[in-house]
Amino acid sequence: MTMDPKDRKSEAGQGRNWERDLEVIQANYSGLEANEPPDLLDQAILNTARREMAAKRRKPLRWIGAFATASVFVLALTIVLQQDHEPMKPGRPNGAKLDAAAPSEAQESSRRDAAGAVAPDDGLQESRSMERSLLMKQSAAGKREDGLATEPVSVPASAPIVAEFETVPVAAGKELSVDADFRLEEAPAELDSIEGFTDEDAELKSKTRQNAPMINESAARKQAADKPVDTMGNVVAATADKDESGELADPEEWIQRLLLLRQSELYEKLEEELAAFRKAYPDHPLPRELEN
Amino acid sequence: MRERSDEQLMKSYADGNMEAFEILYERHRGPLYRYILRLAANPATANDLYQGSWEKIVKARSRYKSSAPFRAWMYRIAHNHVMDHFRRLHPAGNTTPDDMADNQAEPDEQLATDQRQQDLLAAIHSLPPEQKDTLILKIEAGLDLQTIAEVTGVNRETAKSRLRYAVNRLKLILGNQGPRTEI
Repeated sequence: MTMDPKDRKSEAGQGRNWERDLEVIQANYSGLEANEPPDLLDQAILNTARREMAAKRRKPLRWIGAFATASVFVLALTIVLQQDHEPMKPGRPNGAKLDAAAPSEAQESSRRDAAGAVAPDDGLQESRSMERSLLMKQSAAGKREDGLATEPVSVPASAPIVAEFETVPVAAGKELSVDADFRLEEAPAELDSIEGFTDEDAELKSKTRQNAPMINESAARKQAADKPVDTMGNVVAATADKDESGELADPEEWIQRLLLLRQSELYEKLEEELAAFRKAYPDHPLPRELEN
Repeated sequence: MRERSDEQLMKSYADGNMEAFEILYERHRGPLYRYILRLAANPATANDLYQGSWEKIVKARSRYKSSAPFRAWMYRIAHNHVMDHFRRLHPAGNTTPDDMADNQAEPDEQLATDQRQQDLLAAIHSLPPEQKDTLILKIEAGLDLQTIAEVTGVNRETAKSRLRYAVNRLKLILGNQGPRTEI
């Protein structure tokens, strides 16, 4: 469809007309009162703009604050994690924190279980309780007598019974020591030397003497079965062939320990220990009992 | 010293120069206020919309690109703000000319001002919102058709068509009112 030249002309004329009319309107409009925003409104807007600017300047400080908080948190977390890993370092037995005064409940119960499995003997327990009371009396007597430094050692509740005997002061300045090869058989004799016992304790003494071999055997089995226990109730070393510093034990001491195991009829443990000994000291001569 | 352009001033304000904003505000406060006042007709509403528009401009300063013309950007923000306001008032449909005509100037003011100007204002208020918006952007803000199209979000031809309709309608209204208003 083509447009008639007349129509085109009239449309162009209309176009020019409305543009002219627009110019007239614009001229009339410019003569109108020039409304301005109120001064208070101006102030409010400018204050808003200033506030926004100030808020922008404060933003970096907020960022620093958040960063500092995060840093402190990370630092604290690192320290906590590091402390958790510290017990795994060599030099501490079994990688566990062992309190010298109080071994953990789990260790205590496992030790008791082991002891119970080896010698579930009523007579033995009775003997232990008798000895405990004797020792208490003895320590009290010692205190009364001379006030020497043989104060009763506060045996931790969870410490093994063997440790109790080890720390008993028999006479002034003299202590029984399991480390010295289970000399509990000497204990009955030593009991006689304890002063301060009354006659009523005579029965207890005699019972203790009768049960001494049993106690010794039990203690030996216990020591062989469990990890060695020092005078403070600590577990001494993770392995029998190495001491705390990680060095090999003295071969003679080791042989004594092996003999003890044989005597206690702990043949499995003996086999293991013997193999470890052979590995450590291949040329060291063994006693006849162990060679079989 | 050469006067800095709107774009430079806005960029400077976005970088933290409050003085640049004060200059910019002084330049545009009148035209922008009148643009909003003509659309809203009610001075109280116009004040709120005017303040809201500047707050939006201030908040959007970091998004402003100095390559874009500042006036188009500023009027676009104000246009959208005013249209949002009327959409909230009349969510179902467009704002009708009658809605706008309700917001006439106070009678006392009418008496105080020139009758011919009042007639022209009344005629402008009676225009459909889109035509009125386009016309005011042309005669008050002095924007060209392309910029008006950008501000109102339509193409250039639509903007031109709206403007032509607005002019013809004004001519019709003012022509019927007798010799007081001449176009």
